[in-house]
Amino acid sequence: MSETADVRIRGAGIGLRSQHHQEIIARQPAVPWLEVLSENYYAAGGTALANLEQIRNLYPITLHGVGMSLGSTDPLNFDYLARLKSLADRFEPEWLSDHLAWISVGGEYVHDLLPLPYTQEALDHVVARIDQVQDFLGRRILIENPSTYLSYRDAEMSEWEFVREVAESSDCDILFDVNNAYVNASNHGFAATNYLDALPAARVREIHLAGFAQYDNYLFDTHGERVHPPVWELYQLTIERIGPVPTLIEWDTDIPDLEVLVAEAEKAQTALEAHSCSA
Amino acid sequence: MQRLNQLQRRVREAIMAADADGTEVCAASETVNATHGLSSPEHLRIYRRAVTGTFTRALGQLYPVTMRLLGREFFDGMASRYMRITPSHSPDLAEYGSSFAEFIEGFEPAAGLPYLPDVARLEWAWHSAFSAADETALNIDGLGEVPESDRDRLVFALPASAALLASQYPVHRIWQVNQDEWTGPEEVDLDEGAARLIVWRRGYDMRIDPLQDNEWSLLSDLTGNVPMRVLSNKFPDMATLLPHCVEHGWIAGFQLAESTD
Amino acid sequence: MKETKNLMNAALAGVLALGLGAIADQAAAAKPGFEKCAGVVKSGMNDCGTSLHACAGQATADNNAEEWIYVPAGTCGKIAGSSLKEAAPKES
Repeated sequence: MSETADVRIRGAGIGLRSQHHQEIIARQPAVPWLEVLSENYYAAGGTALANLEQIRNLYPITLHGVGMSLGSTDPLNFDYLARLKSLADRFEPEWLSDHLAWISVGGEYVHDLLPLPYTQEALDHVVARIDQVQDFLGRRILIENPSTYLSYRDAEMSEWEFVREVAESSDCDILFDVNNAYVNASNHGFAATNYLDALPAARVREIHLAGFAQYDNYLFDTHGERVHPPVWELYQLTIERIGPVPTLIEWDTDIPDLEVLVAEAEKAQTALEAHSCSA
Repeated sequence: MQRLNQLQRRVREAIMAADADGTEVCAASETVNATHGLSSPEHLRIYRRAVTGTFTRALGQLYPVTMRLLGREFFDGMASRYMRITPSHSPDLAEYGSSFAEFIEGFEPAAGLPYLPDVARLEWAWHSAFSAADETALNIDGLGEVPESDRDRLVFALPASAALLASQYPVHRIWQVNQDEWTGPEEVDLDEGAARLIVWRRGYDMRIDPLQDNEWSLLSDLTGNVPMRVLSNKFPDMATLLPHCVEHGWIAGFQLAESTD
Repeated sequence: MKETKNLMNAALAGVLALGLGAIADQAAAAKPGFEKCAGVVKSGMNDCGTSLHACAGQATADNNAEEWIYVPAGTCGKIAGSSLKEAAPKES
């Protein structure tokens, strides 16, 4: 759990998507790092893994997952974790992350990041789970604040307090998704800046940026558009408050040409560099 | 943790229940806040739509030809029926959907397309081969070192990626004309006849090879671990058939069966 | 029995004659078959299931199952043959 292990991940990277494998290998665009969605490389063999092998030789990577089901009341899935560990052993990511959410109960997976109630019971539970995961993987993980579309009546604390308490109590790091904070603030009616005041800056090692969709009565986290202006504003406030933390552009729906992703990352890079100079 | 477990079960049931307005959604909505413009059930329905979308999108990626044959609307409707009665038991979506062909077989609205289940079987075989373990070609040097006295105990194996698939319809032709890059005529006559196929991967190249009768028989026997002694009695053309199958890459390994003497 | 032995030895001699390393190259040229996805994954729907996972939400309609009355509207209209008539559901 070295504090200097992250030196290779700097600046604004992009999420690696299979559509772009060939182009990234051939053209090697100027992005400082790539984030890999772990579960898309759980195959035993084949093209995707072979591509990743090549790409890994060109860029530092991080692994980002959706399968840990950290908040679930089921037993931890150690088969899943063992596969994750072997993926990490093979590709040597700078770090691994997953979400503060649950995706399964009763052995059945819904494959969507469902929110936890922000209660002491859920807090104790998820902290114990993160402890177990970190012990098994032998390293500290990052947990991400998910976008949510419901809140529970029995909440005993706010979501930003919950995220902070989980990180402090389990001694894990934080992947702060600025877009998710913005979406949740709008959906549940709070000020997104509450997050900035609550997060322990030293634990925030990565930031996510993405585009949401505006529906009739709520914002929906599609990762299908450019980052929206108010999210860029919140991002600016975030790096002023927390520092020029490595930042990632995520895009998952209607995935555009690689240049679009690179241009979004350059925008974040400019913001990060402006901050570094003024600091 | 009991309270949390109960809450999670109620929410999952609300999300996976067939009825968007049913008792499951009602029960779970008691735990959920209403907000400006959205009632408690409406908050849950956002997740119902998201989960349906995740499953149908995944099935569409695994079964792209099936989707193209049916059109997106029909496919999504069929896939959302399937996902409501077929739980996922793995965090890896690539393991989901193996029983889709069997489901389609019993799916009344698709009954007019009798070839559809076999197209879906072909697509599952394709998906499985695509992500199968990497493999090297048959070790011919090693084979040469097997003593002549042990040759009747040789058992050859197909590539780990390989699946054999028989259909009374020309599903490989249906598959072929429904690929994005296909530029020929899209018509297929089912009376072209049956298909016997091996779906497999050679290196990183995916292949569907139609098989002749004797090729099919031999490869089928190999999946049943039938030893050389038996095969040489059964196939009079073995002297050319075996090298022919090896040359194509359909045979990737061998071992010695336990001695029966 | 001797015939079987001869046949077996002939078959293996044929395999050994193929020689090491020659198999993959020869097979590539051997037969057209149906080949795809040789490392190249196109954008769009069919990327061979290599991007099943994402942490973004998917939006769809939440129709009740009972309202499901669609008819196929894809390329299945181009598949013809006598067996379709037997399988076709009755017109209603």
